[in-house]
Amino acid sequence: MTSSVRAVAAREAYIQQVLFDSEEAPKHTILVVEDDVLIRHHIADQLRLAGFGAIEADNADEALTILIAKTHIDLVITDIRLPGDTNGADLIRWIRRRAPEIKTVVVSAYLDPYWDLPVDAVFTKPIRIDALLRRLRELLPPAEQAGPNGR
Amino acid sequence: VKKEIPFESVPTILVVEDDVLIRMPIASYLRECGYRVVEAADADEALTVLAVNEIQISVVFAAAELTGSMDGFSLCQWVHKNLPGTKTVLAGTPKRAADIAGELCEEGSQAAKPYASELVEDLIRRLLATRTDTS
Repeated sequence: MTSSVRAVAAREAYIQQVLFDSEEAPKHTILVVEDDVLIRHHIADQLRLAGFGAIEADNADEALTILIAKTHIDLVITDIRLPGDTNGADLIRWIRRRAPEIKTVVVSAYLDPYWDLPVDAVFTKPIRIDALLRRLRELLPPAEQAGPNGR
Repeated sequence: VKKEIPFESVPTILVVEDDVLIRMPIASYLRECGYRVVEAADADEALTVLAVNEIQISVVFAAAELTGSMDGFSLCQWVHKNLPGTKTVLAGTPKRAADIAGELCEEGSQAAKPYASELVEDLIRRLLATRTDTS
């Protein structure tokens, strides 16, 4: 390996590390998909305060863009009703098919037509953050924490 | 050095950018610099956030071009007129956005700049390339 190739590889590794696992200890990253900016911000902020990494998407298309960009994601929290061509149920089916290692949690006011969605947990709005955090810690136990190269 | 200041008293930056592959790394970088960051995907979301008294925005950091009812220029004009204490910055390109984020990091003094803004620019370019690859 030439030194310039090594330099590029080191830079790549550094970018991965600083942007997706920036704390000393690698942390789990959760993608929050919600079109109400205040609810999205509230959930994402609470996740960050609880020690998770949180990435925010305004709709399912943004979420898919992030997932396709191969950003390291451990779990997706999504609403069902979302603006655009893709709703939260479509997003969950895509994840099950294309990235089955990613855990999924639904937070929605409207669940009845989607009772059979293959998700790890379901919460109805208005959401109780403490209950959500408890479930997330069960789904993402600290012992299993791993960086982008660790799974 | 980080986390010594109570979370509620950390200056808050509202990042308004409709491309998630630019918004995400910029917001992440500013958080690493010690800021609290609210993300808005368009001007309407930004106005929703600005209307909430409990969220005190110090800086509105907007992309010049935005989809929706209002672009970044108009949003910044609105902020100047209606919230004169709030600083506004406009970014026309991803490179400029990364540069501005770097400047805000240096002004912030909440924490040392975690890494150079060139790395943010580099990351944005790579993220945007994934979209071209798959479309």
